Amino acid sequence: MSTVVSPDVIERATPPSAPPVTPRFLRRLIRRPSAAISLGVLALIVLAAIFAPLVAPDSPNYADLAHPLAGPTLAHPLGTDQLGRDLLSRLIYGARPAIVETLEVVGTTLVLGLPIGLMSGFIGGWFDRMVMQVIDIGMAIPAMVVILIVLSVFSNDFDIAMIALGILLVPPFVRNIRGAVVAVRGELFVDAARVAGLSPPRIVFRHVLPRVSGPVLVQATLLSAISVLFTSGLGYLGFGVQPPNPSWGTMVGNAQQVINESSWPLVAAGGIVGITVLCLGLLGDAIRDVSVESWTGPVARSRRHSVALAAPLDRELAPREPNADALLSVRGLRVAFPRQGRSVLVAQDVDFDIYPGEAVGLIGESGCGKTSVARAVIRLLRGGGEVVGGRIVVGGRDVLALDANELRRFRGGEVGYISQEPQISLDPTFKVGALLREAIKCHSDMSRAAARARAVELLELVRLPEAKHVLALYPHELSGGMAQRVALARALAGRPRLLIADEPTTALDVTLQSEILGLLRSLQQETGMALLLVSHDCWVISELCQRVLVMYAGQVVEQAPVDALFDRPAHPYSERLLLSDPGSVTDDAQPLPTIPGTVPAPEDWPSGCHFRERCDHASAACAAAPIPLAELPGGRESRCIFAHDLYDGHSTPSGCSTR
Amino acid sequence: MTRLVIRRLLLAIPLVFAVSFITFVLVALTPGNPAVDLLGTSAGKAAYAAVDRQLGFDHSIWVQYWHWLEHAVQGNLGVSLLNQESVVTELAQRLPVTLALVIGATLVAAIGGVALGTLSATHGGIAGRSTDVFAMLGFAIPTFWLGIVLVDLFAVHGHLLPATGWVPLGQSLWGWIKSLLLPVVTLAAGGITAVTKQTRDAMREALSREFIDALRADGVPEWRVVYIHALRNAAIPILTLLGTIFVGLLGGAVIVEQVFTLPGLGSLAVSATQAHDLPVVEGIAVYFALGVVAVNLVVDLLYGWVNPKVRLT
Repeated sequence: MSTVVSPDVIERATPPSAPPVTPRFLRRLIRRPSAAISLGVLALIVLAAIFAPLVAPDSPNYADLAHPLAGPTLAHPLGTDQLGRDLLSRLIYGARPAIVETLEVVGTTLVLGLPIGLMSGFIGGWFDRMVMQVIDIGMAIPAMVVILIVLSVFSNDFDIAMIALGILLVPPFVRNIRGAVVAVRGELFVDAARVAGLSPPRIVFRHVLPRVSGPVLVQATLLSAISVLFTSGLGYLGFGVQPPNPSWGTMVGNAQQVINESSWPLVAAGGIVGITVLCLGLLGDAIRDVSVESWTGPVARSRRHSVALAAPLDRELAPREPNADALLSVRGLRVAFPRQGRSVLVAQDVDFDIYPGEAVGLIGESGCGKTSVARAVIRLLRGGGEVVGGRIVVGGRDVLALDANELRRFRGGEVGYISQEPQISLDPTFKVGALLREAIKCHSDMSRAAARARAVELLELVRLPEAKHVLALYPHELSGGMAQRVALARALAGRPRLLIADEPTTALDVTLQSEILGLLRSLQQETGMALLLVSHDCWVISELCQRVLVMYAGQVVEQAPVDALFDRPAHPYSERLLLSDPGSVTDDAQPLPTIPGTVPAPEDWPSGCHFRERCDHASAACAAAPIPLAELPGGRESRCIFAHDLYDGHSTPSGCSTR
Repeated sequence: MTRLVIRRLLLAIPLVFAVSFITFVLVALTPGNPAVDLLGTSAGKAAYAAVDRQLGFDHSIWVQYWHWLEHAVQGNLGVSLLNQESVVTELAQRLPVTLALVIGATLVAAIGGVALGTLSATHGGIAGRSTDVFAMLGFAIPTFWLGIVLVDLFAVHGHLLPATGWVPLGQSLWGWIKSLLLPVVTLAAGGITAVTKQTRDAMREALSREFIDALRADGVPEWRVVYIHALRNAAIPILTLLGTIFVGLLGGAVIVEQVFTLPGLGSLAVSATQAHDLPVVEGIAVYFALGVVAVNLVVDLLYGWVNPKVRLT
């Protein structure tokens, strides 16, 4: 930020909190090359300044008039200035005032700012509000102008000016420390200390201060950097150390006078300031990174045993050809996400079709890969996920081969998408009207007026009364149900032939759920679009869909018409899923059956059948080899070696009727 | 919105008041005697007393401040002790220089920093790393040093731009731009660093939000996603920073005006402080305080524009 000392420099992000500065902390810091080098350079400068008479080649003011403006030689390693004075010696002696001034500034800021920041953050309430008000005013004072006035009033007394600068840097410092304290205040150990009856000052200094030592250190390095820049700027203006004694700032001023003859003195004088500040900045960054690291904990290194880009499972089954009659045809889809530096499959050889106008449900527990499959269809995977195999064909076009512009028109134009959280899926800074017009204009060339009329039409389509009023609202002024209708209207703006609804009702209460489901059903009838409904809720699927896909641990384990599946599941996982559905329990006194265990993480999928570790029917054969999809009567499929037995054998657990 | 503006203005009054009073007291305590400065050391006692009376220095500091305040609210900031010129006239001549310099530098820092920060947030990799290096260098290089180097490169050796001096806008538009170019770039260099870092962090946060994916799912082009939606959501912390940067650049202008010998408020601040010219220093302090108030107000209005939730409160 150079000498433009705006206090924001020390506003740079500091960790919410950090562990106490321990030898371990220092070791980790030193292990970073940038921190080690910076510390080394800074130590070198400080030591050279302290032992200046021993290390400096010359007296700083000795003028060798025979050799003015000499370049680097053995006698003068950094050359000489216009009076033949040795530049290296002057830089070394010039470090002395720089160090003293920095200590004065940083010392003043810490002595004043630390107690205020700690108390303000810890006590809160009116004290905190008052402090923050004063700080707001303090941040608005241009430091340079005030320092000039102070220098004038106190006849160039530089010590007082440095203390004044320290005071001027208190507001941003307090603001940062207060923020760090507020983050720590609510933590358990602080409550424990309170309960133990410790006095507030004792809690603050014994328990809170160590936790915010990371931010304090970061701030201290940045304050030092600002102080070095500021004082060299003042030196350049002619304040502070008076000639002939050297300071870094006056050396720049001297060098400027002879710039036409030699630029070397300028490089040397500016270089030392730049290097010092750079080292302080890098050190601050390293301290921040190390404290954040200890705060968030080291990256887990377990799970090395897992098989990345899982085994050649199912490879013997050649992917089937896409279905030309289907609107959406997915074949052999594999989706992978990067996790701890390796690529991990979350969806494996997924096949399914959706026909025009059809409603298909995709059901399974959280973490089964439903959303990954749904989002893969519009190539919108989060967190670096990508499709690593298979084909996705929509209306005869290969989705994976679309270029950026085609993909843009495909999204919203061919396939619409709405997600679980309606309120956070709308940009909060735009009005509903602007958001709708944008979606409309992305798929057609319309005048502003026409787009506006179409926006009203869309809102009427999603049954939002008083469309004109709604257009003028911001997303945060909408209720959850309204927000989902607006999101739906946006998704419909491009007249898609398929709508993917990912848990569209999960965030809504029960009455709203029915309304939105009813709306989706009637929209399907009015527009003839197909629907892929992702849900973990059997009842939601049964309300809307004709066909259902059951997913478990990255695979489609069963595929069947909705009624048939709910009557007679042909996969043990489907069966357990239906039994654990709240809608299936007619007797309230009975505890809800749950599926024992949890869905394994993608790295931990077992060999053979992914469900075998939670399955009552599991046998040795289930672990031996990947299980293929078995075809059953009625266009059904099940990925279980007992599929035929299950299908023939038992009668209904019949959960999902209506609520 | 109106209430927000009114509240801001009400908060600004104590700021301007405090700045003017503290400056007044500090400068009044300054060692040195204006009467001696004016008449030399050989005048008689009666002559000094007459000057003191004429300038109002025979009253207590409270009375002096009250007199100053009375005139100030009527737009009269007194006369310079050095040349008897009206302070308001003198400051009015110099204000355009500093304003052009500081506003120009703030704009350059804003545009450059937002562009670099966005690049870093959306690209990562080499682009991200080089912005980090650039940002660190911008922080470490002292403004005055950069100014001298730029003069050496572009004026002394390149003969492309004037090394120092000022061409008023009224005289020549092109000359005005040329005389401003190097000082503005010099002053902006440090600001760009901070804006770049802030923009990168805020844009990363904004781009990770749910609605960004929802926009992409609706087929919104990527440039609109980044520059219209993400940027607007990232704007609040960037605007806050720009407010503080403006204040910082007001201070930086003092040095830059010195490097480039520009006749602005900053160089006047240096010379007036050295000469104990109380009314001028007082006037500069008030002008700077008013500048800060105006910028805070603009930032608040922009808050309301980018974030509808602010507008409601």
